[in-house]
Amino acid sequence: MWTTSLVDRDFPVVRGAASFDSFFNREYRSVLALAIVLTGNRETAEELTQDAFLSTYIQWCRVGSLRNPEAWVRRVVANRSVSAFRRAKAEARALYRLSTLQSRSAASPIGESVDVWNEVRRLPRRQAQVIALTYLEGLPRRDVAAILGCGEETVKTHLQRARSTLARRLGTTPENENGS
Amino acid sequence: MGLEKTLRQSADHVKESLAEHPIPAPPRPAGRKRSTIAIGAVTTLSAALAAALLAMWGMRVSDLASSPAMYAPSTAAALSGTASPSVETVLPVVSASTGPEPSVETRPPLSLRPEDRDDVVVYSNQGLPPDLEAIVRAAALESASSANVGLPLGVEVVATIGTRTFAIITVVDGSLYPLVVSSSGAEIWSTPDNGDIAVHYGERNLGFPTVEIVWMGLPPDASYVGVDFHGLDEIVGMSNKPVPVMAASAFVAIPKPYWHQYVTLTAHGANGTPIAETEVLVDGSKCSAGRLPVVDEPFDQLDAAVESTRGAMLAQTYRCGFAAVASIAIGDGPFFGVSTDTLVDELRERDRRDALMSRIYAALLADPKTSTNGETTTYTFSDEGVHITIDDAGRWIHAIG
Repeated sequence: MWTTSLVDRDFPVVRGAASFDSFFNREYRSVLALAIVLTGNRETAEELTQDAFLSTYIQWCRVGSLRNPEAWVRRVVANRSVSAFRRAKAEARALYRLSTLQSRSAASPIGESVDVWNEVRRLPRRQAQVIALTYLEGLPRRDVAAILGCGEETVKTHLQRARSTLARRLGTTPENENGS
Repeated sequence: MGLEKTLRQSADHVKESLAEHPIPAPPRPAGRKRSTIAIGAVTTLSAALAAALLAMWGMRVSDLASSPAMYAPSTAAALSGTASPSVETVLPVVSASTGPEPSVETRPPLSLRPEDRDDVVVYSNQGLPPDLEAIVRAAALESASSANVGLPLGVEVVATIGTRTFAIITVVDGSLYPLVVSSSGAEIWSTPDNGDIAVHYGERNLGFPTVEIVWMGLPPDASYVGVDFHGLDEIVGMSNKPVPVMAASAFVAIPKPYWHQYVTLTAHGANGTPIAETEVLVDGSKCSAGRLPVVDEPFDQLDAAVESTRGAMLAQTYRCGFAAVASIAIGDGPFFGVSTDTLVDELRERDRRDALMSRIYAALLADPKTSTNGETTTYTFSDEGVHITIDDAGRWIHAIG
């Protein structure tokens, strides 16, 4: 199941490797999905996800006792996706020379929705992160703010600007958060 | 369709695509820190024994000094006073064998011991027939003088090899016995895991391979080995690219391990005919995350005339992470291997490395027979200190940066 709210969860204080494994198994797919939409490359996303969980594991004594370690690992992914995306772009340019870019795109892990997420990734970094956390993870603004380490109003501003830009680029109708 | 609906549908699409995605084993840090701690502890203990060992070491140095021709210069220099005798004597023999202590007859004929931070010394073990030979082929500056020559195993020290490169040392006794020094510098190992395939998992080291495969059971008439990475369809260029054969072994370095990825190695003869095949499972979860180096910019400087070589070079460089062996395809001709390993350390400055690689390509394309003695062809770039030797079958023999 995908998360709906991180702040309201009542996470037990956990410290052992077994609890980390449980955390990993529970969160892996959703964190991977976040990494995929932020990087646009499944392989890079898997690497990024592995990195994030490895960092989590190394600091599990501390992170595991946090109220929402889920937010912590997502913040790691959001922050590291910036450099990972840059690297992925460099790889893509290199692979273009191999004339494999077309087949690479054809094998996109997110298929038809690739155009939408490509446009999301073209947004300013924070806006893209807010969109991904809001729509992919289904998180409310306060959780998004907690993950990104900013205020709710900041999230709201990013969300509005991102929607406006996306609506223009995708040729869709901008709507408010409720979809109306 | 409204934006809200579009975004939610796209999000659902992503989640559905991952619904059946297998969850890998939880990540764990690689064992490098443990090794470091172990070495540190042993070194500490060895310091306590240094006084007692010093006398023994001094006697050995004097013995070795009487036959300096058998040793690489760096080894001789180390043994003559720059290396730590306690470290050399006390550190354990590195071996992948975890079973009971092997007997004299079955234990590895060669062993590796760290000499200092950057070098390991290859020792021959006692009890071996003195007529055995070890062939050392390394892409390291440190071992240049001992590379590609047969060394009698009667001597104790076979070679000194830099840890930031790789070397395959083959004992010629009817069976192959490779020793490999990891190009990552993180690990060394000396015995095969399961017969003719050894897989080594290293810790992440930016720009260096994290999984290394050595195929020792390679047919002696193999000219090159094709590598097919299953599960890496998105990186098309990495599959089915040949790697050179070294010392009757194939060395494959994978900078980006995938989760549980099968790798098929196919040996090809000089005429390109497949003559043997083996498959190995690489478990990416056994090492920390690998990194693909950014290899975009270095190729921006290449001359347009070498455009046709970029593909193979780039793909191979991806695989090797600028740290091991890069193969170059010259048109439809044989594949050449150039070690970029030593260049990484020596040519940290990107501009100089770019210029060097560009010149190598240009020279190979312009005049692929720079000099030959009938058996091998050597390309020399004297001002860069680079020598590349290739036999007429296109098999890479030697490259020194």
